[in-house]
Amino acid sequence: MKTMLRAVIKKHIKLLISVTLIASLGFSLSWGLSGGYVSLERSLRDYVEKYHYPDVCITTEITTSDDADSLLAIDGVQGCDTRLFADTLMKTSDEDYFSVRVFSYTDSERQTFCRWSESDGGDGVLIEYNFAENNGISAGDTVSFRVRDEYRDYTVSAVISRPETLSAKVSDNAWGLNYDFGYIYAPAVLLAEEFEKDYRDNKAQLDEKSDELSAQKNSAQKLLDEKEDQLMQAKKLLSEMREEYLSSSVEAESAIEELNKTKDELLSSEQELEEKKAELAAAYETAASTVEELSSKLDLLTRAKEGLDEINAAEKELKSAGDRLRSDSVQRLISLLSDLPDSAKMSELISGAEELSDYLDQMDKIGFHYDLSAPIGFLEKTLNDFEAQMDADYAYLSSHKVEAMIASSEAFSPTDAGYSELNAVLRRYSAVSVTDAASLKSAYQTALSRLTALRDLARRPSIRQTLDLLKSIETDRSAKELLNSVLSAENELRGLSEGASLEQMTAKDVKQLYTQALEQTDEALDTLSKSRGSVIKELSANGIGESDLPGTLTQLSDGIASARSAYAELKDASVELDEGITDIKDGIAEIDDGISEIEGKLSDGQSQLNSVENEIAGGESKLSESAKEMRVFTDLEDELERAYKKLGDSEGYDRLCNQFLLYLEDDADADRVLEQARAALSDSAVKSGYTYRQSPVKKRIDNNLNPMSAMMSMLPAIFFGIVLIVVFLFMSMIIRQSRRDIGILMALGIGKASVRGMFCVVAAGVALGGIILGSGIGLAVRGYVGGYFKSFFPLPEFTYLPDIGGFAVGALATFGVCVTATLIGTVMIERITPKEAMSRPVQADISVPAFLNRLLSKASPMLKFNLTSLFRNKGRFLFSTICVSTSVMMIFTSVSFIASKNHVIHQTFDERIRYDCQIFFENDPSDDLLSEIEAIEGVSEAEKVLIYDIAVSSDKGSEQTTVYAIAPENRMIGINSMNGESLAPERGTIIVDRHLADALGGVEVGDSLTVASNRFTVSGMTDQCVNRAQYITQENVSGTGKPELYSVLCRFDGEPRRRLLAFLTEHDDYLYTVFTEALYNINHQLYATYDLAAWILIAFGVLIGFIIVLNTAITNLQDNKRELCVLRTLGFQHTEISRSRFTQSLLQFITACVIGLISGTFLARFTLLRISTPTEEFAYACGVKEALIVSLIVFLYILFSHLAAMRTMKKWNHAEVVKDKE
Amino acid sequence: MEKHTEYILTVKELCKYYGDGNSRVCALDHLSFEVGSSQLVAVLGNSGSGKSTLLNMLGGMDRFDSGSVCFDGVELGRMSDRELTAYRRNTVGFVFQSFNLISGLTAIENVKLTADPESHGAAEDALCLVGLSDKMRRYPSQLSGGQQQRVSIARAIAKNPKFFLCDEPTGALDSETGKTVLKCLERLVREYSKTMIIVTHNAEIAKIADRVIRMKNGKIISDETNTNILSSNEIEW
Repeated sequence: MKTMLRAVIKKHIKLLISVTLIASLGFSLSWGLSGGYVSLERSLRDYVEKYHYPDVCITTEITTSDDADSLLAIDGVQGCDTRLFADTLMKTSDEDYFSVRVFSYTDSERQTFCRWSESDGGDGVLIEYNFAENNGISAGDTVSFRVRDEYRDYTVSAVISRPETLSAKVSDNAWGLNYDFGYIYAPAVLLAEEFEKDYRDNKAQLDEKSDELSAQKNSAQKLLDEKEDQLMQAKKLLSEMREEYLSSSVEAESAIEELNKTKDELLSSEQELEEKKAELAAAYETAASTVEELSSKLDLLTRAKEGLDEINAAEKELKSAGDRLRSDSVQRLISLLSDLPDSAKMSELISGAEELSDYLDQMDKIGFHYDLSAPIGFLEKTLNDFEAQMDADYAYLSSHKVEAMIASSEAFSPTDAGYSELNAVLRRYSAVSVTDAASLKSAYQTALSRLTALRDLARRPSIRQTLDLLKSIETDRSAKELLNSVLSAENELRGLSEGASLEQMTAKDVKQLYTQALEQTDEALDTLSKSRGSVIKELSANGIGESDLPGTLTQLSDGIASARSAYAELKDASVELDEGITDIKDGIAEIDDGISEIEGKLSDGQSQLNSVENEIAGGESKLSESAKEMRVFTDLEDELERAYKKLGDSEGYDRLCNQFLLYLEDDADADRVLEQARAALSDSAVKSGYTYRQSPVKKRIDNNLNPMSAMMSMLPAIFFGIVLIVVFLFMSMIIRQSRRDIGILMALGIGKASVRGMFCVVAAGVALGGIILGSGIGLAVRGYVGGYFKSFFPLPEFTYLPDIGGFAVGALATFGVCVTATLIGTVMIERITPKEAMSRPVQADISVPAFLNRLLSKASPMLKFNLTSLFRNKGRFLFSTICVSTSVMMIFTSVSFIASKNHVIHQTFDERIRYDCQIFFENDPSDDLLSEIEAIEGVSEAEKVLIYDIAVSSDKGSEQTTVYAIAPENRMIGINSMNGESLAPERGTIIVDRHLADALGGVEVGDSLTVASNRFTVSGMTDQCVNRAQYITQENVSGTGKPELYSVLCRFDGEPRRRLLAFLTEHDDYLYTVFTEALYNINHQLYATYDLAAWILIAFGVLIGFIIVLNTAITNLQDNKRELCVLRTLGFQHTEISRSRFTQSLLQFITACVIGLISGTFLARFTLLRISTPTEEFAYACGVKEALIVSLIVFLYILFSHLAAMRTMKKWNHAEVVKDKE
Repeated sequence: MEKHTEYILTVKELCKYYGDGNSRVCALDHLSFEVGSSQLVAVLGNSGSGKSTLLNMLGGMDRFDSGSVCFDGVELGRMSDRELTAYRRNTVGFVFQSFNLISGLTAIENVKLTADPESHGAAEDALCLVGLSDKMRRYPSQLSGGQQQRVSIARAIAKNPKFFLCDEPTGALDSETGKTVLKCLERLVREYSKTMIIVTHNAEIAKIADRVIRMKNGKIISDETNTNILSSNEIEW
């Protein structure tokens, strides 16, 4: 078996070493980290316990410790210590000055203080550690304290840690560390030196005060007497004034009465006039309505007359038209047209008639008369005859004979034969009288020309056509009649054609037109007649006949004119009345003014009298107050007497004290005790007093260390748990890999117990190795952690208490896990037959969910194989994913913390604090002081801030909180809204923190709040992580009371610290200075301790995740060894397989990231909530960036794990595996 | 059988050793032979004769210590691991004794593993060729041994290799099933003119080969052309 054991160890040596290392790592971190922190915490608490903090602290004027007896007598007080303290200045060089508070200490306290370093300074001073370190003071150094006006040297005998300072560093208020205000402990004798001198000085002061008091009292009394005399004189004057006023008021009243009478008379006159005006207005209205009535009647009648006139005119026209239409000529034409064919054209008829008429006229002029009264039938013959004549005449004139005659006309003589005939012809056609040859020729030309024209005219077809037309209709009518009918009727009918040309019409058209015109005319006449009838009827209804109408119209016009004239007269009368009423009203107004004036004067007189009375009363009141004030002198005299007495008592320095520290029984009421203590010491002696039922140091430590220690215990436990899981896995893997060996041993007949025992020995060896190695590493870790914390928490002695319980639990757990894993593995193998154990385990078929099959149906076979092979061992995949998720969760939680911490620092030191130092004063620093500070070289700006600790109330509640009253033009404090916008309070407004708003019942912007007695409107809301405060301007502080602190904020543009401190230390009101840089450093240092834990968590998360993923990847590879070797054999490159295989890791990565980030968010929020305190909140500040960073970290280690696992595949002999030979 | 003057595979003085020092074993001792195209060569030998080692060398699954193996004029001994993998992928079709199908993939998916993605339907055709067109969607566990081996053959066919290497292809099968499988292999050579080397210890199987190489202790003890080639139906199991 030993040989077998050696073989097993040799076979799995790498794995065993890995497991041992992992076990030791977990053990060491668990024990070292948490152990280190827990040891620190324990040391802190022990120190605080040892220090024995008092329950009540009362600061008084200088007194003696005899008063402690009265305090011890109070019920519940177990013990009482007294001590001295004083605020003074200390310098370490000529340039370095510090404000310090010096306490006296007892011997027992001296032993209690945690000593950082020590010298042989004997009974020197003890300097507090932080102050000493920050200012380069060491044990053995010499420092100088100001005692009155001189500096005295003292040796620093030790640098010590003070519980308050420790608590400040671990507390929720690292802001309380004021390195420029040091806490010094000195023997009472040193302080007493200060106070011994104080005693003498005080006595001198008291004497001075006494003299001053007497002088003040005498001068006050003298002043009082003078005031009394003045008052008596004033009273006398008042009496005289009163009498004068009474007589004046009687006269005034009678004058008022007379004026009122006159006013009444005027009022009645006004009333009469108003009545007359009303009557006039009525008559006025009547006249107006009459005019209107008549006018409308006139209009009506006028319209009626106009209508009748129009009707008459229209009738006349129509009748005339009808007459014309019925005229003989028209009748004749119509008759003529009736005889004509319907298609006969008027144009021909009319133009033909015109031409024929013209022709006949021509004929007549020539002398060829035709009797137009003759019937038309004869006309033709006449025309024929005429034309024959013309032809004959033409022929004659054209004959040679005549031409010759004309040619020889110079020899012409009228008496010549032949000329008479010629002459006759010529005379027919020419009007020229032939007397000589010239005239002969002229007559000849004229006759010829005219004859030619006539002949042309006679030849016009229209003449013959017209003649034929006329002949065709009636031959009995004379031509004249016919032609006249046509020509005269044409004009009559032309008007009927309405734009259409009569010439274009036929006979039928004209007849129709005529008939229509007749009918229309008759119709219109009929309509007019009816209209006329109705108008007349209407007039008759009004009693007016048609013939009466003009007369009636005239009467009406006259009537209207009369009514208008009456209307105008009434109007004039109304205007006169109005003027009268106005005059009366003016009179009344004057009377009222007069009365008012009189009454006013009376009132003024009364007011003056009252004012004088009030002044006199005020003077009397002041006088009585002054008399009371005189009593103050009596009180002051009493006080002085008491002070003298006390001073007398305080001559012994060793009994001097100004602070009483009370230790109470467990169930005592500290507030009650304080109240009683004040009374016992008398209020005037007590300067301040406060209680802390539970030591504030203890409370702060509990508030802050508890969550930290919970985290420091919980997280290492988680580490360890995961480590143990990893150990379990590895041990299981070793057993699995030893399956064959176990099978062989069983086949050879080795008992199961022996086999189990052998492997348990291996497991125990791993556990033991892990524990031993882990212990060594753990001690180193504890040392480092302790040293790290120690550098921050100044405990020079830090006891590493062995955590036996934790060690035992860890060791047992390690053993237990190793052995359990081994046992489980071996038992499972022992259940199967040796043959099965020795042979290759049959790989179960992969059962893939149907939906996944469908999803991957389109994917490549390689991809499908790699993804579905995960289902071969679902439990392993699930477990591995959970572990990686846990890793993601741990990393994300840590990253969240770092992000939150950075947010706190950024918000505080980048956004909010824009000053380089804050100087605190006991009283309100003046503007001059501010200017002087600004004038210091290196100081660029100074601004005042008042800090109140005050109640802010809404309708729903009240909370005590810090209120900053800042300068209206504040530049030193950055105030941002929750959206990052810059805010600035204005007069009457307040900017509140979100947390206060919630505490006050959900206050919103626009709501009103009360601070002291002032109302403010909420103008903005902040969300501050640290030191939450509300902001108002300094314009609004009246009525707010005395601030808790006065401070000045400064900005530097150089390095003015020494100059600034040297300047400030000369001011009596100066308290201390807090430099922003120091605050930043201390916060940075404080958070760095948290960072340490965070980074450890991240590192561990990565390590565990890497190991788990690597183990899973290797195991998965082993499960698919055969298939992967087949793929290699089939010609798939290693990189191809690796890439495809990576899909498994990717799937795990995505799943783990989703789960881990979601759970990490919750854990982060929970953790941040746990480590937040009421004044320091670690808000969740993670976003996409942090999630991506964590995802990248996880992706990288998953990738590295995958690559590392794939490297193992390269070592396989795939040919042998494929052939089942491996 | 007529002698093939064109050899696609040439082996010269091939040596392979395992172990070192005193425990050094010579698995292949100066082997030399050639294989022509469209030849069915059976390599016979008992266990330990080196026939499987020879197959590993020819398939590029292992490296030899000396000698040369030339395929189509390319020397395997000079190939890098990557080139050998590509050689196995593109040139050689393997048929294993234990089928070596991927259990999580269906028959068609197993065949498609090595098929050229550009040649659509090659996998389906291959399965049809081996008579398993109706079993494409079955998983290996749903197929008999013979069917699994035929899927393995289809996988080898699908990539259209230049020659096939079969290592005891019927070793895990009963006689009837073995005959069926052998028929498939035979068809590849006779109908599709593929070159095939079958390693077996079963002399009956060697009767279907064109040529039989016998090995013993890493050496070729005989290399004979088979004058009386039988078909797979005729051999007795």
